[in-house]
Amino acid sequence: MTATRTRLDRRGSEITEEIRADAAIDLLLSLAAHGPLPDPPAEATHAAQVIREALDELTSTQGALTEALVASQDRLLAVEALARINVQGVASAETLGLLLDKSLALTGASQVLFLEDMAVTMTRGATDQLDEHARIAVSTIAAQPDKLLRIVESSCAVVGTLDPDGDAERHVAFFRPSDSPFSTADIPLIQAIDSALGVLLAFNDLHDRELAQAAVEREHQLASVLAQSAIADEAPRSSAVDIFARTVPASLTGGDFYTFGRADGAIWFAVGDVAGKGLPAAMLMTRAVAACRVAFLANRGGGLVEVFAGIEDELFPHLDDAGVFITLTVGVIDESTRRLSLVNAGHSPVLLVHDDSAEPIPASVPPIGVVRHRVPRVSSFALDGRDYLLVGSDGLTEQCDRGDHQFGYERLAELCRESAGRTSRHIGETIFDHVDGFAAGHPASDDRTLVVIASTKGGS
Amino acid sequence: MIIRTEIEPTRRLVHLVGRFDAHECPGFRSAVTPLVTAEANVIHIDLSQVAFVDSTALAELVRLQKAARALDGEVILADPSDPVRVILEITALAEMFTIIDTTGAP
Repeated sequence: MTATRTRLDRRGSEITEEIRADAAIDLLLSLAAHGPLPDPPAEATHAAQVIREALDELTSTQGALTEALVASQDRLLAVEALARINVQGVASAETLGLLLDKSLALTGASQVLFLEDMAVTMTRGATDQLDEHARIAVSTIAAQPDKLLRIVESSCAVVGTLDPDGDAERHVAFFRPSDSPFSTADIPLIQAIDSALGVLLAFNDLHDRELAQAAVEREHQLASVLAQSAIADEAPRSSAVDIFARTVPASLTGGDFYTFGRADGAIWFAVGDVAGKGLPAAMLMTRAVAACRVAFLANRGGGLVEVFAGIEDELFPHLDDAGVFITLTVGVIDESTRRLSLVNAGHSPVLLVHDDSAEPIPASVPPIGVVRHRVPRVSSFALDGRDYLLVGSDGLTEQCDRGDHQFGYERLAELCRESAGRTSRHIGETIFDHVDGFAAGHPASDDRTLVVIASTKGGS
Repeated sequence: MIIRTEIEPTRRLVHLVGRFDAHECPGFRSAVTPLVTAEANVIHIDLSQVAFVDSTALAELVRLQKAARALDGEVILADPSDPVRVILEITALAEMFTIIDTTGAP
């Protein structure tokens, strides 16, 4: 801390001397040591002046520091506000506008432009020179495409790249009048603002993608529910036979199905499995259910082979195009005689439980969609006493336990034999329970479907 | 599932090892379908080490057979393991393929 004093030398010339504040204090202390003086020497007066000036300078510096500190706090609060907008207001143009407002205030810019794909889509601040500033921003980006921050127009314009890793091309440009250009001290703040804007936009993009994905998932769920609704909940009631039917898709929906029809004292049924998983299989499943119902109605009074041919005619072209097939068992029960006839196109398991034995009814033709115009063999038998027919799907027999062992046909056949004479519901529930118990929490890899048709004579 | 292919002038050999199920079908399709061409329209699939095959995988074999037949060729299934042979018979799909035994077993 220094001050100057001017005095006259012996010849009357002015001499300017620089005196440090601490030297002035030393001088005053030394004079004070001599006791009170009636007339303080000129050096003492000057030393006091030096100290006063030093104190004034200190006060002035303190004021400037306080002002800078307040300005710094203001910026900090503004950046905090910026961050808060970022977190609270994802995914709206209004939020982006708020951020640009804050950016304008923080940087002291006269105008801020937001550009998407080299076109101005939002502005804040002054509205004059908009076209000129837009042209400057676009030409600056084009000239320096890889830079994150570009300072041009004698430091009166700063153009930043937002979210450089994002899919969209977005920039923000700050402009100041020519008499108050940006300084190097402004750059860190502009970088921070660019970063905050980039993060917001990245969040917006993520949010938009999640919304789109959620919409697709909702549609998928809706389609799955609709597909699954093609399968009737209730099996037909009859005094001649007792029917249990249940399908449990491995996911929201699947390719397994059953359907029933009733006409002229007969109950028609079909149990099938579309090769494949999920919604694609389910779409074919709904078509298969419709094809079976149409064939039941169209061939009223006709034979099983004709019904099967009708189903095949309807489905084969679609299956051939899709490169998949459907295993299918189609049958009819004469309610007056309890005589059951069926054809099996590649489906399993199909078991006739009779006299406490469980005999598979083998497929006589490949699944529908593999080869056309094969005539299936019709198997017929009467359901009497404790007899019942079981038509399942491979999701039951192929269910694995934690050791990757399959439930298998033997285990199923054994359960079927043990369940003879029970109601169809008891048989069905028992089989599902045993398969669940066998899986012991191991997830189902395929849909599980079971239809049990038992004689009402001799059941318990 | 491990898919190993051998390419000969007029014939293709594919060895499969493991479980052949719906999860493996995309890999099988991308690896094997391009092998069937007008010049090499016969493809042998070695199924001796396939522990399990599900209906989706069977559909994939049928699809390949249709593609080969469209080129006047065929898919030949070699030495299917017992689980594969059983499922081919249960589904009546065995008749759709030529099945050969290369082991000379009775």
